[in-house]
Amino acid sequence: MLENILRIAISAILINNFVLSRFMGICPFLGVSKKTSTAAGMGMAVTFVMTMAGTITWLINKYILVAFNMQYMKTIVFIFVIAALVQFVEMALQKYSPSLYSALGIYLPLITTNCAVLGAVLLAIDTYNYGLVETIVFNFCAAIGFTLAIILLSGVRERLETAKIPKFMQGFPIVLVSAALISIAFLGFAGM
Amino acid sequence: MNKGNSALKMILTLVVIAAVIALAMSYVNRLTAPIIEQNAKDKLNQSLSEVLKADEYTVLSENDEAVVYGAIKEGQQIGVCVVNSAKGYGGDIKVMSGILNDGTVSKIEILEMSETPGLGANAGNEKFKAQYEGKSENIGVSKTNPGKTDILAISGATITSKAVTEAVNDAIVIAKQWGDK
Amino acid sequence: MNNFTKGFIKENPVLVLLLGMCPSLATTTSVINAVGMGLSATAVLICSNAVISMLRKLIPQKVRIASYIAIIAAFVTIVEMLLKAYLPELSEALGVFIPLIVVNCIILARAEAFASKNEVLASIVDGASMGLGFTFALIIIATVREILGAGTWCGLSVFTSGYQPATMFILPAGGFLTLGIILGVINLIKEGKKNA
Repeated sequence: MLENILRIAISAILINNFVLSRFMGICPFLGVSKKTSTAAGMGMAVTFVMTMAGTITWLINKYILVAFNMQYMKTIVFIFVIAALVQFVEMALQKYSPSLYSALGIYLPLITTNCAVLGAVLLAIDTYNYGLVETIVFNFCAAIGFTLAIILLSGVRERLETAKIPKFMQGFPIVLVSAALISIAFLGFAGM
Repeated sequence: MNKGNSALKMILTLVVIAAVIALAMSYVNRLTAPIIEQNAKDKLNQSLSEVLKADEYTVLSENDEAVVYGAIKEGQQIGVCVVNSAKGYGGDIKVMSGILNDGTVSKIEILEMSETPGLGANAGNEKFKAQYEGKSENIGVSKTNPGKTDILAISGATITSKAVTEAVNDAIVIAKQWGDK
Repeated sequence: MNNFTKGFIKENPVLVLLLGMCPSLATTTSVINAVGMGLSATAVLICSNAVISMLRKLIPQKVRIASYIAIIAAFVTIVEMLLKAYLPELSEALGVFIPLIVVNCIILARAEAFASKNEVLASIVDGASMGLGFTFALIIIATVREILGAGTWCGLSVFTSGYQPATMFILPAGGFLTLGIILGVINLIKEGKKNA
């Protein structure tokens, strides 16, 4: 059991990193990685939502969708769970932790359309048939992997600010090439 | 329009949309479900005849570990097909192994895997799979010089190669219990 | 007509607006997958644009996003079921990226920016234009990656024997690299036009 969980964790964070090898959550990965502080904020918000979303959708899937033989409704139900969750987290933070809210607030609405969240949920429940504990671990570690990747990229981008780059490669092109290099580094884990 | 009215309108709109959507989806589901099921069956039969050609296949045993099919040709059981899985890099790798009555592997097929494309996913290549043909027990994995009972690992994907081999080795053991006695 | 061609070059969703990055990187390891993904998204986009445009006067402002997501998710699920039934191999190759069309920014963006404000017919044209523009971008990326990474195009061998494919291009890193360089080349062309 423990070995299995460790395997899921390492695989989700390093080997099959959600951003660098599964290509999920690319929009925020490119969009909010300009500064390390905002990247870390986005990572935290995503981690929170993904872990919660994994838990809730697993329960809904098992006790409602499977029980009533309605698995074909999964995509639509899951996306609404995620949207509702994001809304809920936003309201709760605003009320109880205004400081955290002002730090994460602007990223929260973006999470609904972050495909890493829906992707992780669908992979855990539909493709891998994980149990509840495995699903939670998988979602949490996938989010940690996302956070790791976005922080790494933001570090590179902060340095690129002062680098001399040919004009046509400035902006997204050079960011994508940087992401490619980080992805190659992560490929090293696949040969372990 | 007063406030209560607009809230009612919002709820009503959402309910109507949800109802129409649910109806449409359940209709398409009813239309496609039997075809999807048939596809899965066809695929299974195709894989079965791929790994061990026979006239018909019967389920001999089915549990969490493995599903065993008996391959029957001209009324005689010529071997079994075992479907089991082993942990690869990107999750479970589901392998079907055709095993003849004398305990040798006739052919293997990878049914499901989510290994890295370009590396582990090369386990699906004919060249890799063909290495198992004719091997009979305790198949080993070698990175450089495979011996008589070894297979050559896919470069950059030793874990995947080991996982497939583990599944095939297990299948050989299982096949011994179900072989024609 | 202008409405129809804008999605290809001037407002190409992937190459110019930089939307829908996830599928454009994940499903472009082969041209066939790219076409499958592009056309699936196009079908969803046309249908959702049409329905949203039809209902644009009936849906209250406050719940519009929720309604759009519901409509999009329904079409995505329908496409997913049809693919599983009639094109099982493609559905297996694209895997989880089919249901993920729901969160493809292009579709929600077109619903909000175009379909909710325009006539049905115009919205359908817009959906087709953006969808085919998306498909076109995917085909370009996939062509580069498949030829360099596997030495084939649409599964057909391109080179005479002896070509050692650079596997890196069909690995994830190659996806980032290819898209980065394509965007760079587009910038270069734009600049050249300005100077000329």
